[in-house]
Amino acid sequence: MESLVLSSQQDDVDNLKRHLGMPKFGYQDISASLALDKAVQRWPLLSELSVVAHLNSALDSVSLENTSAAVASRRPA
Amino acid sequence: MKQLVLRGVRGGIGATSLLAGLGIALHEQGERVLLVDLSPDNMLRLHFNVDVAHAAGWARAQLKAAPWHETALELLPDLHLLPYGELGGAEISRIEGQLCADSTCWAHRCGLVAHNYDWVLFDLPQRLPGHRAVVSEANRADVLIDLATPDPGCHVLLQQRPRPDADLLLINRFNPASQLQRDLLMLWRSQPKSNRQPHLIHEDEALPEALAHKLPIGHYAPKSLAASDLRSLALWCLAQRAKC
Repeated sequence: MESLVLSSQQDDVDNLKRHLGMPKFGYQDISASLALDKAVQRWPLLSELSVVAHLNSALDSVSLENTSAAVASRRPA
Repeated sequence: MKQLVLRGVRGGIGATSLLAGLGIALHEQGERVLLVDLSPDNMLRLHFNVDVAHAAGWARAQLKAAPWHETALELLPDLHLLPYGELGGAEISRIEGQLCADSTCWAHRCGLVAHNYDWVLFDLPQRLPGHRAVVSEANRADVLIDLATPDPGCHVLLQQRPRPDADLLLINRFNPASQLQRDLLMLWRSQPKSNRQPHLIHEDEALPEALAHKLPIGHYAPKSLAASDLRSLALWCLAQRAKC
């Protein structure tokens, strides 16, 4: 079961965050995200589903913003 | 006592075989296990050397208003199996109607036998909402595991985010030599909303061979890759018990 093994790369990043004393330090693994993009682009069905998923999450965030705006507008000045 | 459900994203991906293997793996850890077949296919018994002609089961007993628990079979000490029983289409519909009318039926039954077992493991049919009440929002099992195989069909179905959310995504028949499977696994591991890594059961010919021998994988091929993966899953279940 591979999932029980912590990847050494993630371990390194966590060690670096601790060493710098910056636990909230944002780290983006660019090579991993490029590999993910390639994986999605390789298969037309995965590409299409990925576009749909992005659209849905964008719509979700817009509706969330609208809800919070509506809540804010109801607050007394 | 904890209830565990393996919820196949679709049919035919080995949920029954893995549930039988997980039951054995938990039993090897000293746990008292009851396996309940909620599927009218009545296949779970065939993993434990029960005769194909054996027609008794809890659903047959329920139709006759007989005690359901008396149809349980002792496979090993502290390892018991409750078969579904052989039913026709109309009889299955009657059971479905009864389960829909009483959605807490299995929760109630589990309460009655709770002191006898550490785990009750359920094998579910793909359809029949009454039979699947143990995965409904209201009666969610203690440990709910989604099962998928790394193929595009399961990917489409996983995008629809089955409800309620599962505690774990279990991936069966993983073949690391396949480019498509590696890509899908990378994609599933990167899902922002998944809070934990998927667990893998590797592709292993020993799994269908085990059913052909009417044995669970842990007994047919204890040194196989799939049996080893299932032992790891059993340890995860024991760790999970502490959280729920």
